Amino acid sequence: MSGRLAGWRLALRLGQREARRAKWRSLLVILMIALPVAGVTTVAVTYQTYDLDTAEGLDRRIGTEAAAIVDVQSGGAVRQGIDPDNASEWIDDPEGDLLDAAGVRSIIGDRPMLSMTDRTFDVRTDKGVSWVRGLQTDLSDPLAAGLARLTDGRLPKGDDEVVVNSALALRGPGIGEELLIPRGETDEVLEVVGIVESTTVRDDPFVAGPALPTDYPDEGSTWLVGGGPVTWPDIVDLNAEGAFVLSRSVVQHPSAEALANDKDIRPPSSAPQASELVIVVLIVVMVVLEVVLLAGPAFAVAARRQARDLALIAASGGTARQSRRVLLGMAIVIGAVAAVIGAVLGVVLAKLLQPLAQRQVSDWFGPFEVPWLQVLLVAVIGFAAAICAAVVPAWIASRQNVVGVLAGRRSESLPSRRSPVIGLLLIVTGIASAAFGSQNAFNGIPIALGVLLCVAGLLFILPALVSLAARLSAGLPLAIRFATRDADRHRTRTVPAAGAIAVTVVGVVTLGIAFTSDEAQNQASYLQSFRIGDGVVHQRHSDWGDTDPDQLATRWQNVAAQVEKAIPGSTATPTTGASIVEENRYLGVETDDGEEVPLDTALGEFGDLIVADPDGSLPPSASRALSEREVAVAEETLRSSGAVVFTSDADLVSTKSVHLIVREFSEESEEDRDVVTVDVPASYIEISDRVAPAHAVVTPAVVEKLGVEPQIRGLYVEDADISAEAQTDLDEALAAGQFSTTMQVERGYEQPDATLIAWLLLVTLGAVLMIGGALTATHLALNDARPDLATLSAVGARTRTRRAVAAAYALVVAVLGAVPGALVGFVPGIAISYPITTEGWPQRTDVDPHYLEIPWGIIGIVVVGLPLLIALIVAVTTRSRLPMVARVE
Amino acid sequence: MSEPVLRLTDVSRVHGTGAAEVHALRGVSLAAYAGELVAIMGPSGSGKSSLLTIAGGLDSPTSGSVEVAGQDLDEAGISGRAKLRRTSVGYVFQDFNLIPALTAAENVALPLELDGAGRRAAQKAARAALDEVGLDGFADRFPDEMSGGQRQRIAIARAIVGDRRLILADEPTGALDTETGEDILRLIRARCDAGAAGVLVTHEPRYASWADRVIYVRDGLVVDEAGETPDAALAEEVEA
Amino acid sequence: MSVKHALLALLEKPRYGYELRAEFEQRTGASWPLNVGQVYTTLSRLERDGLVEAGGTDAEGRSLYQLTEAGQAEVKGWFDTPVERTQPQRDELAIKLAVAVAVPSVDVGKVVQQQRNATMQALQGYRRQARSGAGDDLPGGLVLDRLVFAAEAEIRWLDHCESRLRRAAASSTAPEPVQPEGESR
Repeated sequence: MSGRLAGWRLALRLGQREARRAKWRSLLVILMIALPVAGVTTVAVTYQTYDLDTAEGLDRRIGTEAAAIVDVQSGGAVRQGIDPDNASEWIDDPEGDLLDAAGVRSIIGDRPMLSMTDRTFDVRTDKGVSWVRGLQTDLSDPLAAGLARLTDGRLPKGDDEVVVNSALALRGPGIGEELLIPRGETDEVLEVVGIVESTTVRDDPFVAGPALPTDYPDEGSTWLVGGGPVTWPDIVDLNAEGAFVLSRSVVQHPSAEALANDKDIRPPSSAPQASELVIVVLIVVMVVLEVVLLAGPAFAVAARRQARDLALIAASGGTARQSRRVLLGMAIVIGAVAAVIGAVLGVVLAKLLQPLAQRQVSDWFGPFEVPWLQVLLVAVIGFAAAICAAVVPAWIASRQNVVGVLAGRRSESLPSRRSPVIGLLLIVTGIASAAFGSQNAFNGIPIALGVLLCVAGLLFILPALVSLAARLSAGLPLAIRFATRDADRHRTRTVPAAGAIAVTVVGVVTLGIAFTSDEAQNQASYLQSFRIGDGVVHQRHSDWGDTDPDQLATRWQNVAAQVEKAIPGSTATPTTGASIVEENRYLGVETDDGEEVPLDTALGEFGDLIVADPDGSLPPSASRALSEREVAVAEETLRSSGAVVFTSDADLVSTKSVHLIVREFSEESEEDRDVVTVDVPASYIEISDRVAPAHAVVTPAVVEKLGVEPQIRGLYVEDADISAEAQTDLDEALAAGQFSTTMQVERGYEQPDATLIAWLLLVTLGAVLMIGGALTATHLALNDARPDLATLSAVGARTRTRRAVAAAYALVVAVLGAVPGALVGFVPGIAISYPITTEGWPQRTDVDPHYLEIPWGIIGIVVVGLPLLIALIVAVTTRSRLPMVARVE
Repeated sequence: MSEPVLRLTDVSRVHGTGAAEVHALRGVSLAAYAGELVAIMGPSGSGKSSLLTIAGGLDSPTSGSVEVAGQDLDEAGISGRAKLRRTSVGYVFQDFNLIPALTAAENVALPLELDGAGRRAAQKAARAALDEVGLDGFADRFPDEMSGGQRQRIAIARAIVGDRRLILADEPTGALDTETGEDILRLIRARCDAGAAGVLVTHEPRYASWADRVIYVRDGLVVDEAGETPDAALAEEVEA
Repeated sequence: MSVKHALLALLEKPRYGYELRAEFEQRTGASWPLNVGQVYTTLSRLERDGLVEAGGTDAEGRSLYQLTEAGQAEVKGWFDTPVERTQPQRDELAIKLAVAVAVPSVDVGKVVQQQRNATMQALQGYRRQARSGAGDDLPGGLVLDRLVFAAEAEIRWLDHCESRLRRAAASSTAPEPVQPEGESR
C-alpha cells in the first residue's frame, strides 16, 4: 500500500461494494440518515420562506412605488435604526405639536404624499358584529401601488365606497352589498365595490377605503412619500421632529452611519429561557443521537459481515487502521449519499408543502428561499452522524481477534469493567449538574449539560446492563432467554439500538415531567372568577348614552331573556352593583378598630359592592360563590340590615361589624378625607383563594346612605355550560344587539391547545422513534439469527416459535432501552420542574413554590405499554415458518 | 420381526423444475430397526444427505412415503413433524448446530423445553445426557468455550436426550480428527446398542464400519448393501 | 518382516517357548496366529545362529531362552532400522482391476463394488473384534488399527477407482448430467 490515498481507495472500493451488495441494509441506513436531514431542511426552508426581513417585507409595507413611509408619532425628537419597527427610541417628551404634511415637506422637500392610516372598528357580519382591520387611504393613488391586490370589482372612488378582503366577504358583505358599521343607535353605511387582498393581512377581516370611521381622534399621521430616495440624513432630520421613517433606499443600501445607528439602538435579542434551552438541547441531542444510534447497529452488522474480509486483511499484513477504513469507507459512501438525498428531498418537500404551510398561518409567506448555509450544515451533521455511527463498530472490527474470526467463532469480548464505572460517574456528575441548574443558575444551562452527561453515562452503562440481563435471564422462558443472551452476544448491535430507545425515553420522560408539572402548577394556581359552568354578561362598550334606571332594567331583562333562550336550562339574573365612579374617591372597608379588612384576591365582575335584593336574599353572583351555610349566615345578616364582608383573613370571621367609608384623596393636601362613613353590623366570610364577588354585599339602604348610585351592572348566568362554539355564536349575537353586550363563561382551567398538541406530537415522535429503533434492531437480529432459528427448527421447534423469538428480541431491546431511559429521564425532568414552576406572579401564599407531577401514565405506557406493543407488532408481522434448511454458514 | 423405526418407501426427491430439474433421490427404500446402526455411504452429490433430511422431516419427498415410529410423516403435517423431531428423532449435524447463546445444558434441554417440559425436569434430563456423553461438569459452559469434539458431544447429547428412538447423524465426524470421530461414533453406537435405531451418513469407510449395515448410494439410488439385517445378526449371535 | 525379530525382541527377559507364543499373540491382538512348532523351530534356528541361548529351567522344569549379546545387538539393529517399503507385491486386486478394464465383457463397476463390499465386511469384522475387547490393550489395538487403516485405504482406493471409471465413461459416451444436487456440503 503506497501512501494514504491508496489506503483509502481500497477502503472506499470495499465499502462501496459492501453497500451495494447489502442493498436493503444500505437503503435502511440511508433512510435513517436522510429522513431527519430532510425533515430539518424542510423546516428550515419553510421558516426562512415564512420569515420576512425588512428588505423582503418592504414592498408589503410601502408598496412598490413609494420611496418611504413617514410615520409621525411624537411631538418630541425620536431616534431609529434602519427599520423603526425593529429599533426605535423616544428621546424627548412626546407632548407637543405633531408634524403635519406641510411640516414633512419642509424637511424632505416637495414630494407627492399620500395619507395612510390603520384603523380597527366593528362591522356587521352575517352572524352579528365583528372587528375588522381597516386601511384608510386612496388605493387608486399611484403611491399606493402594491399595497393591495384587486381580485374582483374595482377600487373605491368616493368616500362612501370601500373594498374588503375575501375573508370578510365570506362572512358577510360582498361586492355590491352594504357594509354596515354600528354607530350607537344607527348604522353607518358604506358600499363594497371590490375585493382586494392586502399584502399584510391574510386571514383577518380587512376593509380599505378613502374614508373609514374611527372611535378615536387621529394621533399622528402616516404618509407614503414619493419622489427620489429618502436618505439617512433625511431620516435623521425627520426623527428630530418626532417622525419615524422606513426608506426604500436606506433599507436596500444602508450607509455606514445608518448601520452604526441600527446596531446601537436595536435591542439585544433576548437570551432564551432556561426551560426552552433545555428542551431545544434535548430535542437536538435526541435527533442526532437517534441517527447515530439507529444507523450504528446496521453498521455493526455490516462490520460482522465483513469480519472475515477484515480478518483476511489483518492476516495479510493490514494494519488496524486499514481495517477500520474499510467500514468507515462504507460510512462515507452511505453518509454522503444520504446527506445529499436528505437535503434535496428537504428542499423539494418544503416547496411542495408551501401551500399547505401557508394555510396554517395568518401571515403571507415571503418569496421561496433556501437558507443554503443552514441546509449545508444540516447535511454535514447528517454525514457526520453516519461516520459517528460507523466509528465504534469500525473500531471494534479493527481490533477483532483475527484467529477467532477466521476459525468461525463469533463471540464478542467481555464488556469493559471500566465503562460502567465511567458511566456511573457521568450520571452522578449529570445529576449534580442538573441539581445545580434546578436552582436557576446560568439560565438552566447546567440542566442541559446534565441531560447530556446522563445520556452519555447511560450509553456507557448499557453494555454492562445487557450482560447483566443475560445473566439474569437463566430462569426465563426459552424465547426470552435466547433473545437476551443473543442480545448480549451481539452487544455492538444491541447497545446502540437500546441506546436509541433510551435516549428517546429520556426525552419523553423529561418533557413529560416538565409538562405535567407545569400543568399542575397552572391548574393549582388558576383563579376562577366565579363558579365553573356559570357565566356573566356585561355591556360591550362602557358608554350606553342614557342611564335611565327603568330603561336600563328593561334592556337587561331583554338580554336575560335572549341568553336564557340561547342556553336552555340557564337562569340569567340582572345583578345590581355599586362602584364609586368619581375621580379620586374610593371605598374603604374597615373593622371597628380602624384596620382595613384585608382582601388579597381579585374582585368579581359587578363592582365594589353587590347590592342585595330588598327582601334580603343574596344575589346569585354572591351566593353561587359560597357554601350553603355561608349563604344562610349572609342572608340572616342582610335581613337585619347588615353587610356581608369578604376577607382573606380567617381571623376576622368572628367580627360582627364593619365601617364602610367613601374616602377622597385630595391632590392639594395629599391626604385622604372621609366623605361618608356607614357603620353596620356585619358577618365576615373568609374567601381564601377564591375570587371575592365584591368587597361586600349590602342592602339598598346602605348604598343609599353611602351616596353611591346602585346600577344593574350585568347578568349573572347560572348553569351557562355551553360549548365554546355556541358561546362564540351567542357572543356575536349579543354584540349585534342594539344594546351591545358580551358574555363570558367560566370553564375552569383549560389546557392551552398548542401546548397539548406540541406535547402529543413529541410523544408520538418518541413512540415512532422507539418503534422504529426496536423494529430495526429486531430485523437485524433476526437476520443474524437465521442459523440458530434453523437449528431450533431442526430440533423440533413449533412454527410459532419463530414469532416468539422475534417478539422476544423486540421486547428485550425495547425494555433494555426504556427502563434505564425512564430512570435517567427523571433526573433532568425533576430538575427542570424547578425553573418551570417557580415563576409565579403575583406572588401568592396559597400556591406552592414548586410543583412536581410525575406522569406515571405516560411513563407506564413508554416503559411497559410500548415494549409490549412493539413485541406484538413484531409477532404479528414475522413470518412464522422457520427456515428449514440447515445452516449454510 | 418388529416394525422398523424408520421406513422409507420408494422415496424420490426432485429439486427445481424444467431444465434446472435435479433428481436427488430416485425411488429409495430402506428401513432401520431398533438396535441397529445403518450407515449410508456415497460420494458427495449422491443424495445421501437428502435422504437424511427427508428421514428427519426437515424436507418432504416429491413422491414416496416416510414413516417414523409408525407414523407417516406426510400425514403428520408440519407441526406433527416438528413434534416428532422434539420427541422421537435426534439429529446430529456435521457442524454441530449448537445455539451459541445457550449453555451446553440448555442446548441439550432444547427439545424438551420446546416440547413444554418444565425447566427443572428438562435441565435434569439434559445433565444426565451430558453425563452419558462424558461431559459432566461442562453443563454451564457455552459452546464457544469448548473444543469441536466437545461440541459434537453436546449435539449428540441433544440428539439422545429423552427417549429417542431414532438418531440421524449427518457426517457427524466431518469437522473432527480421527480419534475424536471414533469417540463420537462410539457414543452413537452405544445408543443403538441400547435400543435406538441409528442412521449415519458418511463418506468415510472407517466410520461406516461401525454400522451393522452399510448402504451404498449412487446418483440417488441404493446400489448395494453390506452387512446383515438384524435378524441374521441376531441369529449369528445366538449361535455363537 | 520377520517373526524372528519379533520373538527376539520379546526375549528381553528369559521366557520359555509356549510363553513366548502367548506373549506374541497377545501383543499383536491375535490377528497373527503362530503355532507352537513354528516358535520352537525359530528358537532353535536363533540358538544355532548364536542369538539366543538356553538358560536353565523354571520351577516347572521348562527350559528358558534368553538373548545373547549378539542377540541384543540384533534386536537393537531391528528397531533402529525402518521397515522397508517393499515394492507393490503381486497385488491380485490391482491386477484384477487392470485386466477387468481391458476386457469389455466384464462389468468393472460390479467388480469394484463386490470388492468394496467384501473389504467393508472385513472392516466391520475388525470393528467387531475391537468392540469385543480384542484391541483394548495398547499393542493389540495398534495392530488392529493397522488392519483397519489398510482396509480403509483399500476402500478409499476403490472409491477413487470408481470415480475415475465413471469419469472415463462419461467422457467417452454422452456426457452424463452433472448432479450439483441439494446437498450443501
